[in-house]
Order: sequence, then structure tokens, then C-alpha cells
Amino acid sequence: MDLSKIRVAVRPRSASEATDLGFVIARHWWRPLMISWLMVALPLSVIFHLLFYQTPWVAGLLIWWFKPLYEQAPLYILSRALFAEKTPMTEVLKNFRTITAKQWFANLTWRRFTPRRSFNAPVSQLEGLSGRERRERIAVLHGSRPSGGWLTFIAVHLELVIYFSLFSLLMIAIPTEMEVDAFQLMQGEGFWVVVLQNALYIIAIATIAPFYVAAGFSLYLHRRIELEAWDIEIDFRKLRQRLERGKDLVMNGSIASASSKVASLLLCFFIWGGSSGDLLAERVSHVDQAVKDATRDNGELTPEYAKQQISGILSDPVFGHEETRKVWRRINEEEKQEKSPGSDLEWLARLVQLIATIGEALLWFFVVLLIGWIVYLYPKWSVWFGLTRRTISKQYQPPETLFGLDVRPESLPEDIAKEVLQSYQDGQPRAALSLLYRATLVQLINHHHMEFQKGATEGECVEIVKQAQHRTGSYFLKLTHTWQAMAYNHQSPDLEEMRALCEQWHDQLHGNIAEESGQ
Amino acid sequence: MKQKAFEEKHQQSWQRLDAQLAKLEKKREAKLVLADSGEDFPALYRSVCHHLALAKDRHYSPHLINQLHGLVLRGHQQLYTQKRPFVSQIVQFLLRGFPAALRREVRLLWLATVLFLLPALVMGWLCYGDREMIYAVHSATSVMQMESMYDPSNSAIGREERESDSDFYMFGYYIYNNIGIGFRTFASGLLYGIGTLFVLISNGVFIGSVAGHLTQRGFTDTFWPFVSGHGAFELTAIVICGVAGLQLARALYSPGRHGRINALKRAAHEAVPLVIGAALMLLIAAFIEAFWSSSSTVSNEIKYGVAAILWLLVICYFLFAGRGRGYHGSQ
Amino acid sequence: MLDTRHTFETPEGIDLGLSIAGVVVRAQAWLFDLIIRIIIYISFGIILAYLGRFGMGLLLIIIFIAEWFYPVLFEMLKEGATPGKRRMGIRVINDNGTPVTWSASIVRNLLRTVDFMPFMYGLGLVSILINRDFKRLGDLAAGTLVVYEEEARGAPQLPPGDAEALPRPLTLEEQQAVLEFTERSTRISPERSEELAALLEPLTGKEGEEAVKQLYRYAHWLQGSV
Repeated sequence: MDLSKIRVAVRPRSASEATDLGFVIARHWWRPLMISWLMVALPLSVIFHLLFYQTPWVAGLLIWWFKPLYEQAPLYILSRALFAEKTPMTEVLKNFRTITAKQWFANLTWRRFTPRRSFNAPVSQLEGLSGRERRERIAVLHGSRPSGGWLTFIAVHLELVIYFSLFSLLMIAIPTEMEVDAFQLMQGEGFWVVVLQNALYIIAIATIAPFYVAAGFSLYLHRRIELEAWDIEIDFRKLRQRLERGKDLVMNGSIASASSKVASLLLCFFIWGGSSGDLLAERVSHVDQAVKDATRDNGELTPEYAKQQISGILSDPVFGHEETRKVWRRINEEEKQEKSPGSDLEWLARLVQLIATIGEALLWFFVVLLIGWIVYLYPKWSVWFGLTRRTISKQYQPPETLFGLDVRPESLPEDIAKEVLQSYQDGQPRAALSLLYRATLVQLINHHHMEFQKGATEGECVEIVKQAQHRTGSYFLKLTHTWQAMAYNHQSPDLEEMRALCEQWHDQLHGNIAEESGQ
Repeated sequence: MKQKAFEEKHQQSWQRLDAQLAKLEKKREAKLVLADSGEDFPALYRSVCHHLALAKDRHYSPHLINQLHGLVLRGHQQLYTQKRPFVSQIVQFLLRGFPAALRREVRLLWLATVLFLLPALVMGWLCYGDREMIYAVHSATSVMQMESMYDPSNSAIGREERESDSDFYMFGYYIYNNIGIGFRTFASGLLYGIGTLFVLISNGVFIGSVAGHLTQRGFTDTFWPFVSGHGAFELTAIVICGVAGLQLARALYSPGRHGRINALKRAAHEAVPLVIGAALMLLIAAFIEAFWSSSSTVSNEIKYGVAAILWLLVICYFLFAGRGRGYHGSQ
Repeated sequence: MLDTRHTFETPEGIDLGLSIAGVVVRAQAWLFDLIIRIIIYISFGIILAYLGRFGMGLLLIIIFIAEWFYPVLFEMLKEGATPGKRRMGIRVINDNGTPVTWSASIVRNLLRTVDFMPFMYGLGLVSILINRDFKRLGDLAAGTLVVYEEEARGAPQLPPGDAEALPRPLTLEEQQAVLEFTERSTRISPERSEELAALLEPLTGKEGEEAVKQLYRYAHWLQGSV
């Protein structure tokens, strides 16, 4: 397990983007995450129902309460999957106690209500920290902008959305003859009714859980990517490999050992396995110490030293300031109560009446105006109704410029092909091509009735010509590509190409110019 | 070229582009302003595109690439923002886009009309024949309310000349409710047409049964003059929304060779003119219903006359408007 | 490699990279917009209550417009972002990278009703969770994406120091890594910097703090000479 095997694109991201990446991760490993989640959640739910068969709502409450417990196995699997290691379910089962039951008491009691649960989970689950060390480590990771709170807040609501959506679907599916009241079903008391509610709830939290776990983990990872510059490490490592592969193989012993220690460090947060995890937890208490550890001798490691390190990091300007943030929270939509004006406000009532009457009069006036306008425009719309014959549309107004090019016909010189070649040979390929392209656009607009709109892109123009299945389609496409290569990449066509373009222009489009000048 | 030299050479044009973009972003009409002052925004933008390509090619420092990338991104947004004159677009749409878009979907139009009209006629006929039939689809209280509203002998409710402010309230209500229904009829086509089908049929059943029942009760002089006027716009608009919804459904059932998502995208964009047109029709219907249909001072003959004209207008509009010349489909 | 980044090719043939926004940030933006709409309704409700039924009629029209066209108007007039989206730093674009068009905006916002079914965006949520580009049904039909606003980053603050030429040629990516290392020097703890620098011992031939400084010197040289 090393950074070069990581399966996500490593770079610093904002908290929101890190969360989104978490969702992508969860989508990718959806099945193992879901299965490992259900592996714990389902048996526990059954047990809860058996224990509290007389009061099934208690079972529902416990299902909710034990959520942190279900999330440990998915987190374990995810932490390995991200480094391209598969985790067979049998392994999860074998190490069930160390994976799922780790720090279970704390997770289910005082840590149950922390809003940053899925962010903090990797610290205790993967790094194996607890107590003060865990707290300090979490403080370092969160820095001045704790994240994960919004994630939990939204995730809880997403669960509710799914829960109530399922309810609604169920209500649609039940024939009305059965006369089941949705409200009754939601508040129902009977054993099976509550079991049904609990089942829907499990489906809801199961849907969201993989995303929640992965997003929290992703937030955690990105804080570390930022703090420990993983992206740079990956690049440096590649560079080092290249250098070492080179002819001057300077294999200095100390460097080799240092780098392997670094690798083991990154490893250790993801290593589990019953005893080795605990051993590591004992030996390496947190990452920055561990980092230090790798470059110095092991002997120097003391709690005081660790503290010093941590306060050093915390006084870093990245962590060192506090800020107050005002956050919007959802409030309940207030019932809008229709306020009737008091009876002593007779004048107001009359005023309102007056306003309303004026308003209505205005609306009528507007209608009359509209009708008048339509009649006034008769010559125009009669064309559209087919009452008057006219072939040329007045409605489409050709743009004067397209992507910054002047496409008014009068802006063009007389003999375009000659002019184009001339300026090409004068060493102005850009001007030449621009002129040819403009001339083509002008032709297409004015003689071939291509309706390019203002603000259209080059690509859209090609599309319009293609859709109209105009004979010049392929020529226009080729010209557009040549023009784009010129305009944006400064690749000028060679003389042959230029000649061919001009000749084709002559064949395909020039005929119309002759017609026009004859008119 | 060294990065520093590259930066020094082009810094000025980046700053100029940045300044132009700032202007463009602040004011929409700024494009004209810029054109007047002779600054060539597109050319500048293109040269910065080129700089970005070079910088990427030469692997200059990330911060420089980011900076250029940001400029190009903003420039791209500005260059390709569509800025067309609004009024001409509306006129174009009303005189051509909307009716032409509907005519392109003649088959779906027939389907939607049948889906709406058939249940209406059947229910109307049944309720006309059997006085009790109405209770199959409406609750007793709503039937009572309805009857008292249109009962000619009961002039105190509903038939009395409403005050302007009540008219206004109803105007707002019709907009809020009816256009909302229109939009939902379209949107629910996305559920493989089930939603659209449901709205069309249930509206047909509802309207048909009420009409049949009230006619059977002999309330013709109060009911028909009221509904005939705005019906021209309202009923047609609901059917048009149905067409738009069915367009979505058709894309999902037979996507063709471009795949379901692409078919859906295409259908949705083609349906937009229909939905917007139908919304405008519903707005007109709301106006007529609130301020004209409800008026009791106008005699029934005039109301019928106006209704006939309105129906004729709507039908002629959809039959003939926009036939002037070929429609390219590039709305 | 898993990523949320999406590259678009502009008509100019340049790749634009944009990160696609997911559920959580969009939900936050929606909440913010919801609050704004509620404030609008309540304040208009209070004022218009004095105008009786006329006022209620107006209020209904306002609610109608706000419910259906609030996002459309903001997306069109405010560069693809409603106030909520702007606050969260996201905006709507067409899925070919161009600014969102009227037609696309209308489609995505009218189809909101379907995403809203059967309860509070149930369908939309499922669609976003499944779809590769975090598209709800309305986005699918309209061909739109919600992406992050790109923030312009300031010039790098290189720690002061002299420049020194690289002892051997590096590929461009490697040069970039050294520059990046230096650009981010203030955000990486000194110990970690030393550790990273130690990786490049074959290059610098130094250890500890000296190696870090050596890399900074290379970076200064690179910035002036790439």
C-alpha cells in the first residue's frame, strides 16, 4: 500500500469538492460498501426486533443509535480499496472484533452525537488513536475550518427524503379500496406497521451510508493531502525513482531507510489486522510525530515532545486564527395567515377597491393596446399567416459580427480569392484566412439562408450548416477547422492548402457573388 | 522561452483582457461599449487562448497556468453568451416558433386531443344521461357547491357581479393554479408519460362530467357562457402541454440511435416553445376567465359571439401562423 | 483515477477543466435559496395582506413567478447562479461547457417538479447519486451541469532566497512539482517539508533543512528560467 497506487486524483481540494469526490468514491465501490454495511446492520436489526418485540419502536431507535457501528467495516474496506487492495468479506468477518467493535463504547455514547462523525472516524478507526491524542489529532486535522458538519446535516436530511419518498411510493402502490391512510401508517402502533417503518428506515440509511462514510473519509484524506502535500510526494517519488534508475545509482543507505519509513508511515493508518494495528498504535501515536520519527532516531519520542510538536503546528498561520462564521439554518416555513383588515379601516377597503378597479382598467387598456399593435403589425404578420406572399423573411436579422469577425457584406473586398492569396503570400496568413472565413460566412448568411444567430459559436455554425444538409457543409467544416487552428493555435496552413481552399471557395460559393453583382 | 520573460512579454495583454472581462461581466451591454472604443476583445481572447496552450505545453508553473486558465474560462463565457434583442425574439416566437413547433407534432397533438376529449365526451354523455353519475367522480359536497354556483335561481352566489378586487384575486389564482398545472403536465411526461396521461385523462373526466351534469340540470344559461370564452385558450393550452409531455415520453420509449439521454435532451429542447406558448395562452385564459367570463352585465349572446371569435382565432393561428416560409428548426 | 473534474473542449480547441458540484453543496445552495424565497413570500404577504383580495391575487402571482422562474431568471441574468449557488460558489452551465441557455434553464427548472417527486427531491436525489456527472433528471433532459466557480489564485509567495541552477535536467512535470513544493511551502509543516525534500536527496545531495532550502533555490531558478 503506497501513494503511487492511490485510486483518486490527488490534489488539494476545497471541502465541498472533497465531499463530492467522496460521493464518486462511494459510487465506485458501491457494492462492497453496501454489503459490509448490511452485514452488521441487518443482524443487529433482527436482534433488536427480537429483544423488543413488544415495543418495536425501541428497536427502531436502537437501529438509529447504532449507526456508527455499521460504518466501521465500510470505512475499513474503503481505506484499502483506495490503495488498490481488495478486501474479501471473509477477512472482514474474521477480524470482526477489531474492525467493527473498535472503540465501540465511546462511539455509541459520548461520540454518538458529534456532527463530524464520519470525518473523525478515520482518526480512531484507522490511525488507532484514542483519548487526548485523538482529540489533538482531530484538532490538527480540522484546523481553523472544521468540516464534516454540513455533510452530516445534509446526509440526515437525505435519509429522511428517501424514507418519506418510499412512504409516498408505498401509498401510491396501495389501491385506494384498502382505505389505508398514509398518516395512520406513519403514526401506526401495530407491530407490523412499526416493523414496516423500521424496514423503510433501514433502506433509507443504507442508501446514504456508503456516501456518508466515503465523503467523511474523503474530507479526512483531503486535509491530509493538504497538510502533508501528498500530491508533491507522489511527484517527488516518481522523480526519485527516475533518478535512481539512471546511470549514477547513488544508493545512500540512510536515504533508502528514510524513504521506506515514510512509506510505512503512510501505511500505518491503513494497516489493520488484529495485533499489528494495536502495536502500531502503541508505537506511533500520531502522524506528525511519526513523520518526525522517520527522519530522526526513535529514541527522542516523548509525550512532551509530541505536545511541543502539536502546539508548533497549531501556531502555524494555517491553523492559528479563529473566525466566527454565521451559518444559515433551515427554519420552518411560517404559516401565512390571511390578515383581514380591521372594520374601522373602511377607507382602506375603499382605496383597495379603487386600486383594483384601476388595475383592471389598466389590464383592459393593455389588452386593447395589444390588439391595436397586432393590427398595426398586419403587414408583418400577414406574411406569417400566408395571407401575403413574400419570400424574404424580415424576421431574421443577420448579425453584423460573429465571434468578433465582421460579417457585413459591405466589409468584403471585390475579388476575394485573389485578395486572400495575395495577403497570404505577403506573409499574413492570419489575415488571409480570416478574410476567407468571413467571406464564407457572409455568403452562407446572405445567399444560402443559413440563420446564424448573434453569439453563435463556430461549432454551432457548422452544426446549422450540417443540419440544413447544405452542399457546402464539408467545405465549411474544413475551413472552420483550419481557421480555428490558425486563430487559436497559430498553426498556419501551407500554401497548397490555402490554394485548395480558395479554389473550392470559388467553385462552391463564388457563383452567388456574380449573381448578386448582376442584380 | 523562460517563464519570467514569457510573463513579462504578455503580462500587459492579460491585464487588458482581465480589465475588459471585468467590464463585460459588470454590464451586459458592455460589448457595444467595447466595440466602440476599438478594443478587440475576441482577438485578445484568442491570443490568451494561445498563451494558455503554450504555457501548458511548456509546463510553466501551475499558478501561471491557473491564472491563464481562469482568464480563458471567463472569456469563453463572455464570448459565447447569447445576446439577442429580446423583443424581436418574442415576436419571432409568437408569429412563427410556437405554432410551427406545434404543427411539427401533429400526431402527438391528435393523440393528446383524443386522450383529453374522449374521456370528456364519454363522461359528459354519461352524466347528461344519468343524474347520479356525477357522484362516481365527485364528492357530494363539491357537487352541491358546483350546483349552487351555477343555479340561475340562486343569484346570490357566484353569478352576482363580482367586485374588481375579487376578479383580481381570481386572476392571480388562475395564473398560479392553471399555469402550474400546465407545467406539471409537461414535466410529468418524464415519468414515461404516465403523469401526462393522468393529467389529460383526469381533466377530461372532470370537465366532461361537470359540463354533462350541469347541462342535465338545465343550468345551460349560466354555465356555457361562462366557460366557452376562456375555454378556447385554456383547453387548447392543456392539450399543448400534453403534447410537450408526450414528446418527452416518446423520447424515452423510442430513443432512436442516439441513445436515450440524447433523445431526451433533444425532445426537451423541442418542447420548450410549446410549454412557453401554452403558458402564455393560459395567461390569456386567466385574464378572460377573471375579467370577462365572470361579468354578468354582458349578455349571453355577446359572450357566445366573442367565444366563437376566440375559438376561430386560436384555430386559425395554429393552422396558418408561421407558414410563410420553411422553418429551419434552429430556434 | 477517480475525480470530479470534467474537461470540455472549447471551440478554440483548448481544454477547460471544471469540477462538478455534488449533492451536499447543491443542497446547501437550495436551502439558501429556499430561505430567500420564504422571506420574499412573508414580506410580500405582510404588505399585501392590507390590500385584501386584490393583494392576495397579487401575492399568488408573485408566488407563481418565484416558484417557477426564480432559478430561471437568476441563472440567465446572473451568469448561471442563483443567490444560493453564488454563495456556495457554484453555477449552472451547458454540458458542452458554454453558458447556460434560456431553453436549457427553462427545461431544467420546469422539470424540477419531477425531481421533486415523490417527496422533497426524492427522484432527483436518486438520479444525482447514480449519475456520473451528478445530474438530476432536469439536468439530464436540459443537458446542463452544475460546476464550481473557478477561483483565481494569486501569485505565489515564494520564500525569500537565492536562485541556483539545477544540477541536471528535469522533465517539465518534475519542474512543476518543485515549483508547487515551493509555492505551497507556507502551508506544509517544516518537518514534512524536510521529509519531502529528503526524497530528492539524489538531486540535492543535502539533508534536512538544507535540502528544503536547496529545493527552494531550484524553484527560484526555475521560475526565472523555465
